Amino acid sequence: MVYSVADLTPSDEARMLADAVARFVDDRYSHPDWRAIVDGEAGYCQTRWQQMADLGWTGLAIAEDDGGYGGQLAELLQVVEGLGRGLATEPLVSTAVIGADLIAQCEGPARTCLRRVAQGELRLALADEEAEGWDFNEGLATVARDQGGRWRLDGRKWLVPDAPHAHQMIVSARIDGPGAEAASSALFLVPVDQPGVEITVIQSFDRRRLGQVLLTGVELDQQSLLALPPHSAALIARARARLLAAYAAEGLGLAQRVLELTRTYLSAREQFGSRLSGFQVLQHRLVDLFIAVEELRTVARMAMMACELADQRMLGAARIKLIQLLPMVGRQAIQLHGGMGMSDEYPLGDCMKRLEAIALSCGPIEQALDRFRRDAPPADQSARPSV
Amino acid sequence: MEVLLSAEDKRFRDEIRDFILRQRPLAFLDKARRRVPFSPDDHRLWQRMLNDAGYGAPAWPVEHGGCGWSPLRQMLFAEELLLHDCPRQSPYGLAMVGPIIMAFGSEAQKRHYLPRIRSADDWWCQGYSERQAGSDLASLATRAQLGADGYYTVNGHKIWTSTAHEANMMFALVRTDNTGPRQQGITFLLIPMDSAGLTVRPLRTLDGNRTINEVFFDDVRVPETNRVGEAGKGWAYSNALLQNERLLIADIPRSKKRIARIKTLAATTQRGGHALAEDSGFMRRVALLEADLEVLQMGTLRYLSELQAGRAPGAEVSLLKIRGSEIGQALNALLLEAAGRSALPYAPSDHGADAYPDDFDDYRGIVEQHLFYRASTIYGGATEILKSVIAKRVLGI
Repeated sequence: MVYSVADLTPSDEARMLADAVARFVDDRYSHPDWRAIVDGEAGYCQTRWQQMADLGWTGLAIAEDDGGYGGQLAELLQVVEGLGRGLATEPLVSTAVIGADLIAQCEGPARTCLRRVAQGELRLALADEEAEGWDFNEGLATVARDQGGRWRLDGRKWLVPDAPHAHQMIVSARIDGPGAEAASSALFLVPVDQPGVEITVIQSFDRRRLGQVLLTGVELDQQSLLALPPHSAALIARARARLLAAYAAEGLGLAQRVLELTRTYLSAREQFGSRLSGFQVLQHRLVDLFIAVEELRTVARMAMMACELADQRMLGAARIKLIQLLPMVGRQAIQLHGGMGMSDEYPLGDCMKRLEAIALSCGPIEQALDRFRRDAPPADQSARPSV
Repeated sequence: MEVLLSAEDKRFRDEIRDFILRQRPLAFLDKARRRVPFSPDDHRLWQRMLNDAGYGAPAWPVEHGGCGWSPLRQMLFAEELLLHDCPRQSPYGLAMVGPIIMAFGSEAQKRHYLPRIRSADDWWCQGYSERQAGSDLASLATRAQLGADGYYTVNGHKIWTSTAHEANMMFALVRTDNTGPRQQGITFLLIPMDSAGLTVRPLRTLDGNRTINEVFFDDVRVPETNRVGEAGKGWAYSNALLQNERLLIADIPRSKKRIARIKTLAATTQRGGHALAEDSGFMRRVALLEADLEVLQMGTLRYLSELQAGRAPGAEVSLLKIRGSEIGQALNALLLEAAGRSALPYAPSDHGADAYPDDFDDYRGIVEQHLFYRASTIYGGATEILKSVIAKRVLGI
């Protein structure tokens, strides 16, 4: 993939897609409706999920040969951004941005399931993390034992996004036994209804469903093995990069909604005989919000490109800015809304909570900064500024 | 602060500590350990116990059954309560309506209400804010009309009313006159919450809990004898004592507890093969806020010493509330960072102690506090409003 400066703005096609997603969200994601869905039994809407598939979104970035539409990550992220604005809980990121891409990167019989992803029949989740630690998920406790052509998985996975919605999970597991492969992990495709798989549903403060996954003697055939080291390690890095790009897109969608809610509120609300939007201190704080949204627009683009270019430095910068900006946007907007912003019935609070949750999911800021420093390009003497 | 305390101050603190350790119900300890919030009954029980021991009203003069303590000792007292896992005293009766009744109420009102505040027989809420009158409180529109029968008829709507669902009494600002300047048509009324026509509706906040409410008045009848002072002077009464109240609103004890919790969490949280407490980047940010808090506490003491020297500080004391709420919010955000994704699992306290997933007990309350405490820079004078007041009254611009 080669990018130019021109790719920093969305293409005309991407803009048309963005309009379509915006209409989809405006028509279907009124805040009361959304609340009813996320507080319901499933936590997402099956009807909407099927509509998304029918619109071609779940298969957007799946190759045509695999039953998809052969689109780019940029377009898929345009959908994620639009759905982010609507606070959608349907598992498009887990399924299409991460899961389907991982499977597509592997040769083997598992590829046949991509067609079902495109048709909306199959939802996926990535079960990788076992504890806090974006950067240091080494030495997994989940082990896979080779039992002569069959595999046996034991272990637990921690706060897996969308696990309760998934039909199949992509599970990372350390291969048990001596040898070079034991240090890193392989990837398996595990049906959630396989004996030995137990998922405890956890509700998060941003009204999402996570799964505490317990794997006890899960028997798998050879076809369930997706990738072995070192290929699997590269795939996990790829999945994390794409997850970050998806967070950036979703965060941007949310931040735009928050800015719009706040701008509207300040323009309508009167105190001390004039509109709040007339007070300079509030104008400046609103502009701070706007600056954050513009920065997030850049960050989202950077993160998308970094995925395809496998550029860790660019990805690292995007990650740092996400951790910094996303909570600030939500908190600033609450302050500008005053007491109204504290109401749980008003959509702003749900946007704020999702922004906080995304920032937490991007990992600790110290680790992001350390990683960014480690990934620094070697000093270029010729490019040194004169002092 | 420690070095500035006299031997008597420390003895005083030892006495308080001793009392708390002997009298504190075991249930409080258990709740604090499990980080379950105190119930309204806990608050009332503790207030009764404090009152029986003579500690019911630390700030009140002795003639009204108070302790008559200096502001420093009030501060030490409040801090001891919180550091030893006891409920803090509710401000609505003791710090808000009590002093107003003392200063402006009738003898009958003083005799009736003041002892009942100390003993927790009455539990108060504050009916000030309205949908169109938040920061701009003087634009409040809830009407009270005095009839020939000696009763006010109250109609209107209050909002963001903390603990209205737990209180049996409300002190309210209502509009009795629309003709003059806005501030002069406001009257201070004491309204029983069981009055006919008064409805309380929950208003859940970001954390999903019911702390605040909307209160609707539909032809609510309130006897004229429940008016404090003169009609039309409610605004002046409610503002007269605001400055003193803001001296102790910096929320320092709670922030001290937050720092302690961050350190505990950092010591037990593993990040990439070492404890978070060994991450100098994170711990430096904690240290910075600790320094902020030290200075804030000294600043509070500085204003207290001015007060004791007879030079009452002015609107600048609001900076204690501005900084205290900012520091508290920053500490909550650090707690959230220390928890990381472990902070994601959530159930509001209102759903019961068991709704929260067991595996994540160490993180209980972090998100709840973080979300609810965003209001701290909004309630009791929003930061932007307080700054405008300082600009106008202190800096003269």
